[in-house]
Amino acid sequence: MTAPWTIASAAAALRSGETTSEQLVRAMLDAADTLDPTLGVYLARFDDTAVEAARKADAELAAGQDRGPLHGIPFGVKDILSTDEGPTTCQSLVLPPEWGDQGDGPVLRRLRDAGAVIMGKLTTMEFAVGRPDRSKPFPLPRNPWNTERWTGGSSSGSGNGVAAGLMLGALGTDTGGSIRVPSAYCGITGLKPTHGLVPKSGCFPLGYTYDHLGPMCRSAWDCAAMLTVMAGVDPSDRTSVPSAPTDYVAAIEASGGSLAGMRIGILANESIRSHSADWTWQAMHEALEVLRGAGAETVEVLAPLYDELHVATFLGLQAEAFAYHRNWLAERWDDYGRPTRLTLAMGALISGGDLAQCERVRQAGREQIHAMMEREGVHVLVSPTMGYGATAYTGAVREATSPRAMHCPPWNGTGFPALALPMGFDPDGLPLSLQVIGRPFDDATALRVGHALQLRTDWHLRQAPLHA
Amino acid sequence: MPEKTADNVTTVRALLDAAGLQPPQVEVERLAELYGPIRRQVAMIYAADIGNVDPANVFRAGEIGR
Repeated sequence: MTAPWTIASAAAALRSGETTSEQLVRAMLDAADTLDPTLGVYLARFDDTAVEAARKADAELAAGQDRGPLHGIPFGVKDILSTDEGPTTCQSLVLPPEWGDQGDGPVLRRLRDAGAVIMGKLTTMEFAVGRPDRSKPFPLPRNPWNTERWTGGSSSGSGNGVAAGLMLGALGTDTGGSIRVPSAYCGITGLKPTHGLVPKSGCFPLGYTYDHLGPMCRSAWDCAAMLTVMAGVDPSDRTSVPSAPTDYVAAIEASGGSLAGMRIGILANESIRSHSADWTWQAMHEALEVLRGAGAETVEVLAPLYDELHVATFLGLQAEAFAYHRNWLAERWDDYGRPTRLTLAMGALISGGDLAQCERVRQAGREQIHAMMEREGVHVLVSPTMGYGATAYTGAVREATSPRAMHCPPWNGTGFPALALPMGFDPDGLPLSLQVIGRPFDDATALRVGHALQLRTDWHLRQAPLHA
Repeated sequence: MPEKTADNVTTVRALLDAAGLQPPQVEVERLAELYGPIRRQVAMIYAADIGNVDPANVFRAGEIGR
């Protein structure tokens, strides 16, 4: 079996003449013709404009006009982000079609300026919330490792599309884990950047203050290449934060894969361990052994207010989501999918005072966890991303479907960067994922840890049974 | 565990009414099953030892008009 394309390997091949962007794009479109009816990756394909963009990239590269590692690379976009090609549905019958008329947001513009080829719009859960709903006229996303299993969500098509090799990178969004969960379930690498590092304009909001845009790819190197382009303040998003331009690829390569001097805090909170399978915990410790071999030191730590942050994040994002959807829910209840409308309506059961308390817990949690990292001298924290492998569409075990088996939400509440990357497989052959959490605006260190692991393992290069 | 009590059904119906929502009874009952766990979660965040910390979201009047 040959290794799958990564952004890094494809970028090298485009420059060596081994392939062209048009060849890559056409091969992936052909593969989508075969695989997409089963996998449910795309909501809309932009075949003609993608081929046109690929030809342009090939011509520019041939003329020596090199826009960097994303030049000529095929990407997909979660369908809660507006694009120039349109349409945007948020996988819902409720969204007014004109919402997508705003076209590219700043992140899409930056990717296009870097030469990215946009292949189409990808499946999500309705408005990035709820669960897949078979009663509505949208594809059901299936996991390429086992089509009876869910992809995770809500960046479902971003997860299974990259895992199946139908694109080399994708834009996802993450409000409580929606980049990291499908990355974990589909065996790819995904980064929820620090809140404010990547502008969110052009993205349909779920939880205004919890939403993040981020890259989903095969490797940490690929995520670093995407983040280099995506990061940076934009006046259209008042939560985006001015920061010096950073070359994240250079940052992770600077140490040559060594983690000497790196101190890693293993989150030892009881609720993380008790909501993770034994095999998940074992895989994490095997990954940590690899990281120690790269020079890192590890120490067990406790994250203050971890359980309270988990709860406050879910409650807070539900309240924020309800605020956006309230009028549509009142008028068009039945047009929403049942899982979506029930999830959104839970926001009506939370009081204004409750929401303010969520915000107080959130502030205390981020302050106390950051102080703990300073006190312990740890550069990153680690935990499993999910306690279990991908859940079954029918007959899933209760423990695996518990929200507490998601070890992602506290990092939306705190805004800390969190990287999900493959670390092995469960007894059913489903991917398991390590989560590396960095200090705020130190996304580079989380990526550096992921890159060091991937230089020494090949979990991220394993091919799912259904792939291009 | 999901739980549904007559009190919770009544409370949830009242909260949804106040929010302008009129779901069918079966969905009110489903939300009522989730209401007890939600209130326990809310109780957890009020019990947290967070001192006098301000909320994470702050209002910055100086963002505009300066």
